Amino acid sequence: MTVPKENRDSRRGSVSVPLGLSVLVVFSAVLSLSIGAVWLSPAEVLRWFFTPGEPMGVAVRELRLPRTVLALLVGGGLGIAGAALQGYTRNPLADSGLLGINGGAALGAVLVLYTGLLRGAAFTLAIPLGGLAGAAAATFLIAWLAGKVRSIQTLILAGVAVSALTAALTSLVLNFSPNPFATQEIVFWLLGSVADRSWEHIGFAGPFIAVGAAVILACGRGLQALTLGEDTAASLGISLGRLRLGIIAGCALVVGPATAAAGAIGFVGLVVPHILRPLVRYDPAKLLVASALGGALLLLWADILVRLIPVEQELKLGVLTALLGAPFFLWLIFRLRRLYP
Amino acid sequence: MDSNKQTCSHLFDARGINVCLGGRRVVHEVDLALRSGELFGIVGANGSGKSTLLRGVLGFVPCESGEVRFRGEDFSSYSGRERAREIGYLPQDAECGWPIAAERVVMLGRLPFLAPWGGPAEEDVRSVASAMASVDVAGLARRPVTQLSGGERLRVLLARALAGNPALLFADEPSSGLDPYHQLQLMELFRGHVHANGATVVVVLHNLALASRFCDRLLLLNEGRTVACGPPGEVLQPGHLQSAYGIEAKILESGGQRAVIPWRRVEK
Amino acid sequence: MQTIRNYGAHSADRAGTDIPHHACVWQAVFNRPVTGRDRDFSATPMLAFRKYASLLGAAVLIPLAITFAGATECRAAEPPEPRRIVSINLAADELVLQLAEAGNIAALSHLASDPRLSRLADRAAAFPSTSTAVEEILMLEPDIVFGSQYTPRITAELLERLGIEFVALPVATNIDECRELVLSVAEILGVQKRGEALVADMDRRFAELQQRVAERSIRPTALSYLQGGYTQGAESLLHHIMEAAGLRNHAESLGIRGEASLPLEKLILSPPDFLILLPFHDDDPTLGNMLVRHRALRQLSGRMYRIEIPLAWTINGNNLTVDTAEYLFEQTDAILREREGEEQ
Repeated sequence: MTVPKENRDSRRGSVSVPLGLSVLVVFSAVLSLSIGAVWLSPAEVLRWFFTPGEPMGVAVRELRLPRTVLALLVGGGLGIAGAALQGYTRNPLADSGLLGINGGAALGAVLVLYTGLLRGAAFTLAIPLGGLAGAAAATFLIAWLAGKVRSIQTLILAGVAVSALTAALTSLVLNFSPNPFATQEIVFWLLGSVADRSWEHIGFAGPFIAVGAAVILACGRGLQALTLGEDTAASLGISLGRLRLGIIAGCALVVGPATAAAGAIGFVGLVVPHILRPLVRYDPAKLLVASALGGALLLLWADILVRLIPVEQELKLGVLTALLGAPFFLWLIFRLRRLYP
Repeated sequence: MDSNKQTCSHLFDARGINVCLGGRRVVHEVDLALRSGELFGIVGANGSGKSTLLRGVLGFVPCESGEVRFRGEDFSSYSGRERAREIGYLPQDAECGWPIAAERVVMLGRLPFLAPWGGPAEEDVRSVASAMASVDVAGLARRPVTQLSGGERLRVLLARALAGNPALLFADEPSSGLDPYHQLQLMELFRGHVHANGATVVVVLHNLALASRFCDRLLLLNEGRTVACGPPGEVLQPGHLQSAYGIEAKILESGGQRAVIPWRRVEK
Repeated sequence: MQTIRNYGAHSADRAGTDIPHHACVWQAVFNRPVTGRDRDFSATPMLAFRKYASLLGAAVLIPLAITFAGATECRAAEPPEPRRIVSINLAADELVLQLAEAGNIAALSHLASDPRLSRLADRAAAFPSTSTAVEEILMLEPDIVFGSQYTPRITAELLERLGIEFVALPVATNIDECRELVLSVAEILGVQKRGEALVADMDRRFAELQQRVAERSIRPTALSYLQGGYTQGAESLLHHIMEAAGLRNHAESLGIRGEASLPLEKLILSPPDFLILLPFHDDDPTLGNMLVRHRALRQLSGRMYRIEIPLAWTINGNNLTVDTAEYLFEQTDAILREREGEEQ
């Protein structure tokens, strides 16, 4: 019986990819905790972690650990959102950044932060909710367009339009902001970073990202069925309306608070699913977990690099991901053009 | 006997179907009553509403009015999953978004049978294997479906539709783009499925020769309206062909079988 | 045309040096001094040098020896006369308010009456305010407009072409520059006596402060931490204020010059005696505020004393800067005495 054997093979493949990525994530996280102004060995990290009061202990507990966890959360969220969007549009060029969802999230967060829209509301919830609302609006717009047009070119152009609109509205908000620091803060925040973040950020973004990721994971079977087109998916018992809602809600829940916590970080959702797709044999459902782990790994390494590159002022994380991701995007465009002229 | 046929409930019974697309009515008051164990053909000119009729009765596009019953029950009382376990659908220009191995594409046909969050069981694996064997694509199991030839890909996608062993299979213009050999192979597969499993297959066809040769009954549509419905001999009459297609056909009879060959255009 | 600042030199300088981008953005907010690398301000060139500087295209080439005073001498011959004065810059607002006759002030910048940013907000509130739009400035029919070295060049040139004198004030990053700034504006306004009086008062108070600092045996460290995680290192105004207040700028020992961002971890791992915060009092929850309230800082609160200086007191350097130095000295001195008392 050759078929069951093949089936066992494929099952083994579906376990080994997430497992391998998880191991890499753990090793990288330990490395991330070790580097900084002072390098520590993993044993020292552990020792300092349980040493109260000392500056090094505070640095490990309150700076390095939240920074590492946030990089994992945001990277994982962007990775899974990218995989979900690519699966939903059935196109490897889809990405929350390119489709304007990051921009929408940024606009939402800026609105909350600098107009006093939710002044008096619980500070810790106002920011992610703002990001969430902005991301949801942008995702909804894009998903609606994705239903209207099948062409990815049109969709990406729509993303360009949404990005331009959100950027313009963000500038508009800054114009009206009474806070003279606003422009500077926003400009740097938009570049994206997990430096000097605290547990507060994880507290407000983490639960949303986790719920969003769970919603996206629940869409896995729908994305598999969608491989064969909408009608076939419907004939396989998939509710297209619920699938669309799941993708919109999931991506908004993930990208909105992630952007609110770490700024607009692009290209993670584009690069990671594309690299991992062959490893999970192009299965859009298995790609979700793999991309979450891969995104976490990528962003963690970007953050490690940012700290290792010896420049006077630390590079911004979003700058690094764009430096890596934009050429990749160009390469992808030309490669796809060759494949589907 | 005849009256008994009328009263016995059809497997799938759609009555008075009206479908509007983009504000234009594309299907007018069409009935589609399917019996168990028949190969049913839907024919008609381009834009006559064949695909829309299928998509309408299956609920992929909303029907303006009409009633659909499956196994005597209101179709809307079935959940999406229940429908998917009984009814297969092979769309026109079936696509595959990612270069997935053929075997995994076929496994997608088992989605309605999988437990939530669960992987495929032995039975699913068996069904996939037998579906692939039945359309002769077992050898392609590991090939990415996007790298297959048109005929191979279509057979893999057909295996996907057959993997659920549906009691009712709708296939929308599956034979377009196939060479005569593969067209014949496809129709034989449908017929085999009908005979072997007592299933019903509905196939939208452009090829009138195939329709008259293989189908038990035909529905001829013109501009969204029923022109005729019945055995191929009754439906594919010169008058019907002229009004529905604007063609004159040569009808060859040989050994009790009829072949319809479109011959020349005439005024509708 | 009156410029204290050389525009050609300035823009060339901007392009030619590697001032971090963030510093430019930060500066653009308040026209604060750029990092220590932007030295050429102290070398404020004479008008005659403007063409050369433009031609050479690099302010770096302008000799540092050419002093502020040199620039003011050029203007000494101009007759003092009543004017309609407009200020479109926060730094100029404070000087115009202190030096000019109230009747001559046609308008101040819209930031002048914001108590969060301006030390003289109360006095400024009595005057009309203007934006930096040339059209709006023209409606005020000014004789002279005060801006800063960061006023867009196009604004300055347009005003000059329309026959309105434009003065681009440099940004003072040390006490000497504060003094020169007051004197030169006083001279332009033809109120040298008033300017000299202000400077004399400042010098007297700095001298007194220096005496009190000298009486103190220790020289504690201090580190400024601004919204968004910035600190002011060597060659910044706050650095000189700290020195005057008897404090060692910890940022200098961390190798920071001018204004630069400071990773929180560096701060945590070598905490200063005093952490100087410059809160911008605003109800909005902002990203910058979040960093200043970071848990890591709170956990180390036992290791460093927090001192808050109103932001407005550090934005612009002029004769009022002595207030900031005195305040900083008083605050730290009180804490040090308290600690001394506890130890004994």
